[in-house]
Amino acid sequence: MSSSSELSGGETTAPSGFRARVLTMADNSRLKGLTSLGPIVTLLTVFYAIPVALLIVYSVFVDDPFVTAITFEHFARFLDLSAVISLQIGDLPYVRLLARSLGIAVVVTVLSLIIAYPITYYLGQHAPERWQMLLVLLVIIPFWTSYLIRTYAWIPILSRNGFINGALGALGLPTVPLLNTYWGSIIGLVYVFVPFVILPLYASMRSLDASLIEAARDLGASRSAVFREVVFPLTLPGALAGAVFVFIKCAAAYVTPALLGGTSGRMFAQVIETQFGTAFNWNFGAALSVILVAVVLGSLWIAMRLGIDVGKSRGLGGGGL
Amino acid sequence: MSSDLHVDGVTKHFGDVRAVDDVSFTVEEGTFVTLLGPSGCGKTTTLRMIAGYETPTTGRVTLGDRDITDEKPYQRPTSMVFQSYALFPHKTVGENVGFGLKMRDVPSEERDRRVAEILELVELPGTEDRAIDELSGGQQQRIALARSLVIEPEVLLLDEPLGALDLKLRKNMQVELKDLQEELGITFVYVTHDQEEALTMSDEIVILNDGRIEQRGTPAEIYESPRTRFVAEFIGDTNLLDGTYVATDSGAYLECGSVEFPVEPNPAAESGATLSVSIRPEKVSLEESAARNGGSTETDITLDGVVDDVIYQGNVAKIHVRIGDSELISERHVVNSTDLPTPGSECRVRWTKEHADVLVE
Repeated sequence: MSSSSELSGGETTAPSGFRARVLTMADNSRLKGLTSLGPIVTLLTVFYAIPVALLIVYSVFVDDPFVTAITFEHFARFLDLSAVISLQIGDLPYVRLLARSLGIAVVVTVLSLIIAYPITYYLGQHAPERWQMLLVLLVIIPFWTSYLIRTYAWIPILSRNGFINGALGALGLPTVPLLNTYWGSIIGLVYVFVPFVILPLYASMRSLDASLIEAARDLGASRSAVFREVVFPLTLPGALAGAVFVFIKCAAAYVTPALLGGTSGRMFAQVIETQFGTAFNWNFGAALSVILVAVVLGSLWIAMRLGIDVGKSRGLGGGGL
Repeated sequence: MSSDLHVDGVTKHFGDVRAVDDVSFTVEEGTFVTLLGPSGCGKTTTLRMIAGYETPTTGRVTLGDRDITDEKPYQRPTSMVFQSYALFPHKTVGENVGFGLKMRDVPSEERDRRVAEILELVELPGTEDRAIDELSGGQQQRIALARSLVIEPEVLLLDEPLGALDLKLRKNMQVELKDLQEELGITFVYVTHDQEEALTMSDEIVILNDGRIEQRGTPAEIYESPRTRFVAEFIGDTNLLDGTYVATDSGAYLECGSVEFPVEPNPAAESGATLSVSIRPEKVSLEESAARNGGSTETDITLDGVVDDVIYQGNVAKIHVRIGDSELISERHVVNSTDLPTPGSECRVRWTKEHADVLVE
C-alpha cells in the first residue's frame, strides 16, 4: 500500500536527533515491558518450570533412594519391546501403547474438526444474531459440570444395555460393544474436546466476511467448492488452534480412557499413573512423562513444518501458527 | 433477442419492515442504470434481488424472456462487484480473477489466457502472481471488476464499488467504469448514494426513497425536472419556494406570500395544495435594480429583492437574495470578482417558467 511507503519515507527524512530520542523511548518501554512481565515469569517458573525440571531430574536417576547416579535405563525400558504392560487381552510394549495413544489423539482431533466445522459454520454465518450468544452458551454450559461427572454420565449411554444399544435394539439392529472399548475412549474424548475446537473455530467463522462466500457462489462455486476454496482455507488458523489444543490434551488423556476405554482403549497416561500410584516407580513414571511430552512436541513440530510447506505451496504463507 | 432486465412489481419484506415496496423498472440491454438513494432506501436490497441473494416477497425479475426470480446467483447470467470487493485474501490475483472460470471447469490454459486478457483490460497486466494485500484500494477495485467480467456476465451488478476509494481516485474510476461499460456493451446496474457519481456515469437513474421509486429518468431529466421534493433536495442544490399552487384553465401559478408567479402546470398536483417549487440556483439570474427592463411576462419571471449575502467560491459565487419572506440563491460563474453585487444592494432576480418545477411530496 502507498501509505506504508509514505511512512518509511517520513522516517528517513526525520532529523537524526528526533530519531535517537524515539529509540531511547522504545528501549525504555521495552525495559518497562520486561519488568511488568516479572510476576508472570515468577508464576510460570514456580508452577510450571520447576515441576517439569524435577520430572526431568527424576527420569534420569536410578530407582533406588540410597543411590545417587544418573542412568538412562528407564528410557531403555520404554524402548525395550520385551518389556510389556500386561493387559487382559495380551501384553503390549510401551512403545505400542504410546503409538496407540497418539493414534487416538489424531482420530479424536480429526473427528472433533469434522463435527465442529458444520456447527461453527452455521453458528458464525447463518444463525440469527440474537440466537448466536445462546447457542454459544449451549456449547459452554457442559463446562459448568465436572469433567469426571460428565464422563461417568457416558457409562449408561455406552453400556451393553445402555441408551445407544437400547435404541439399536428397538430398531431391530444388532447391538455394538462400546463401553470399555477403543471406541468408548474415542467417543468420550470427542465429547469432551469438541467445544475446544468449536470456540476458536467459531471466532474464525465470525470474522469470515460473508460477502466472500456470496462472491464465490456468484462466481459459480458449488457448496462444497465454497467450503474447499474459501471457508476452509480462511478458517484454518482457528481450526489449527483448536486442533493443537485437542491433540495435546488427548495424547495425555487419563480419566476418559480409564472410565470408558477398558483395556482396548487404554492410553499412555494411565500407565504413567500406574508407575507413580501403584508401582511406586517414580523414576520410570517420570521418564514416561518426559517421553510423552517430547513425542507430542515433536509431532506438533513436524505437523507445523508440513503445514507451513503446504501453506507456502498454496500461497497461504507461513502465517497463523 | 433482446435481454432487457425487467424488475416487475417487486416487494421485499424483512419481518415487519418493507425494505422494497412495489418497485418496477426496466434496464435496457447495454445501458448503465444507477439505483440512487440514501442508506436504507432499498437500493441494495433491490440489487441483491437482481443478483439472487434475496428472493422477492412478491414480484418478478426477468432477463429478456427468462424469469430469473427464483434462480440461484450462479445460475443467473449476472455477476456482482461488492462494496468490500470480496476478493479472496488467500488467493493470488490470478487465482481470484480465474476463480469463476475454474468453477466452470475451463481448462487451465484457456483460463490463463482469459485472465491475462481481462487484466489487460483493467490495466493491470502481468499481476497474476501478486498477493491481494499487496495491491492498493484502486487496484483491488479493478481486480474485483476483472473477476466479475471474466465470466462474461450479461448484467454486471455493482454495489457502491467506489465507496472505499478517496475522492480523486473515485472520480477517475467513475470515468473509467463508464468507458469500460461502453466498450464492453454489458448492462451495468450500479448502486450508489452519491448523486454526483450517478449523474456522471448513468444513462438512466432510478431514485429510491423509503423502498419506493421517487423518479426515474436520464441524469438531465432528473436534475432539470425533479418531480418530488425529495428528488429536488437529494440531487444537487436547489431553491425551494413554498406556497399555494393554483391551477386554472389559462395556466398555473404559485402564491408565495406577497408575490405570485406563473409555473409549469403539474398534473400530479392539486389546485389549492400547499407545495414547493424548485428552481436550481444556476437558473436564477441576477440583475442590478437600475437596469430595469420590464417586469414578469408569461414565461419570464422577475422579482425584486435585496442582496443578503455573497458567497465567493472561486469559479462560482452564490448570491443570497431576500424576496419578501423567502430567500433565493442565484449561482453564477465568476469571471471578475469585482463584478459581484454588494450585500444590501437592491436587485432583481429572473428565471424562466420551465425552470420552476412544481414538486409533490
